[in-house]
Amino acid sequence: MEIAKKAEEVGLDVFATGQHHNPPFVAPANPPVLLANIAAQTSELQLSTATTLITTTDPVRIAEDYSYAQHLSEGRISLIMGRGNTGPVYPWFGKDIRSGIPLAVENYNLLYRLWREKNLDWEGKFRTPLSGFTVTPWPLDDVPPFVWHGSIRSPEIAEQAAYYGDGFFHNNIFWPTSHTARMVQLYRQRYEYYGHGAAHQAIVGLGGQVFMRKNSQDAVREFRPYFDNAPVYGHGPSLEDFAAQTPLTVGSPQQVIERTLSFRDWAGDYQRQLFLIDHAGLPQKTVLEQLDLLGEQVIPVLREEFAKNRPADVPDAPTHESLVARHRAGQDPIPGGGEGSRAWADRLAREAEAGVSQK
Amino acid sequence: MKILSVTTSLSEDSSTLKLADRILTAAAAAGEEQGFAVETEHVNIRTLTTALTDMTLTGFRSEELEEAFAAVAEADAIVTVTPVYKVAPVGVHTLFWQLIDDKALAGIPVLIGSTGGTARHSLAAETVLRPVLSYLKGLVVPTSVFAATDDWGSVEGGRSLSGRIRQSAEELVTLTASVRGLSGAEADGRGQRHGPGELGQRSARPRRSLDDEFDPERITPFAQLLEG
Repeated sequence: MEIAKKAEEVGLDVFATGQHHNPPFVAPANPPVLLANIAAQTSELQLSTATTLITTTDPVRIAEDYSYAQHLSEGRISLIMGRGNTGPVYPWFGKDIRSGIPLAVENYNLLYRLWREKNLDWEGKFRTPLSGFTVTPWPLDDVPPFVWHGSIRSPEIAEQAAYYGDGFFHNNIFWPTSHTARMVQLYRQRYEYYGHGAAHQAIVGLGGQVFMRKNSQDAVREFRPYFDNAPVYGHGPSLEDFAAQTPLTVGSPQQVIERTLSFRDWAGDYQRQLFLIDHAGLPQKTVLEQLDLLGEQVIPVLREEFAKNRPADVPDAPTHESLVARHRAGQDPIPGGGEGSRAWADRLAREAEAGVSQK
Repeated sequence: MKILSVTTSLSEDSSTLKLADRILTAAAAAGEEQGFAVETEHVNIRTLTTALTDMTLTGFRSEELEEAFAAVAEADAIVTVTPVYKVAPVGVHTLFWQLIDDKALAGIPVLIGSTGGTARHSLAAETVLRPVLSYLKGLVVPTSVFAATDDWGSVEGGRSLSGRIRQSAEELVTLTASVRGLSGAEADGRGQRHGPGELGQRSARPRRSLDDEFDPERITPFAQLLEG
């Protein structure tokens, strides 16, 4: 709560929490509980998950819980869908680890429809059918929360995000740039294929993890003992090697600014940058200091620099207001591609071919 | 024909490195006999040890590891030689093959070599490494080469080792030529037969196609995923 309130105080746009069911993570098992509480104590901050487990959480519960939180927060909620970071979580919720991707595909399809169709009749492989079911509460202003699909290495998920015209978030914190760039390019090209806009207009989010002090030497000296012993970083590559290969930046605010701006070189103009701040077992006091540095010295420069040379037709990250406007204008993305898209033309061609072969 | 040695040589001038060199020399000779020019290259896994443990812990590859994996992908044939410790190939050697991509050896002929103190270690690489290389879809030649200390020191040992090296190197070169669709006469430019492509050039037959799962043109369309 303190971290979220601090994020709003220092002028950050968005706070995101994970969904975890195992140590060493302290994130909630059901993020809307935490997000609703934060919503009550903030007024501007956008709230997101990073991520919501689409595989092991019943889509009906996701639809209801996040819809509720969307009302409570007056539309400040968005979601990043993920499949989880550990195999054992599947059986904890009665699911089969072997079905990771099919669960993500079917569950999200159900969630998508639950938020858009009243009296839904639905049948699938992984849960009991629904007959005439309507989500309560219905999404605020008839517009569901914006969804990003998060994936580190599954091309199917980049494809899923593109198919629906949703956002794609690559949590690149443990991955080399070359790999992240390929996943982002795949999503962008398929986004265009499905006719939701040009590739450079697709909605992309990236991660990054930082530790800052005024002088870079101080930052390295202070962070190293945490890094060396952190459950996710420690006892492996050196801090220097890890920083060279991943977005991890330990140094001065200026170094963080330069590193982050360089993401645009390979990802294109993108809409959301999440920073991992509360990591490696840092004390909360330090985390709050990091937020001060981020808000005061880094974010204003990033906003200004990212705005430069950005084509006018690149959209901002969607908000409830922009989604309502889009919905009312009848411009919601059509899953799988509407008329005029390459996907549409390919579909027609396939159907024509099937028709010929039937005769 | 490019033959890459992926060898774990833990000390400078180790017997493992010696064995790898002798196999490469024999392969070059076998290639010449059959009318191919053989290029050879070395990767020493010793230099990648830290990168391999880092990748085990974090999942990502250092630049030098990427380069080594790429060298494997570009090779026409592989010779992989490891020292044997306690009746198993030394862990770091096995680790290299455990961390490379699935199907990394698809369609690539592979020759296994190993070294140990006594002949009691002789089947270690055969039982441990061969299944790993087969899992990677490598075409492992039937004859492996094991060299114990005796083989370097006695006359009979030396002869017998040379025989095994020659035998396996020939198997490697012959298999590589057949997989790559090369024939010696064409490759040398002396033959009368005309194969596909220009004389003396690599055959037009593509070696293999590695799946590029991030290629937008080759991705499974989502509608297909939805249908299950």
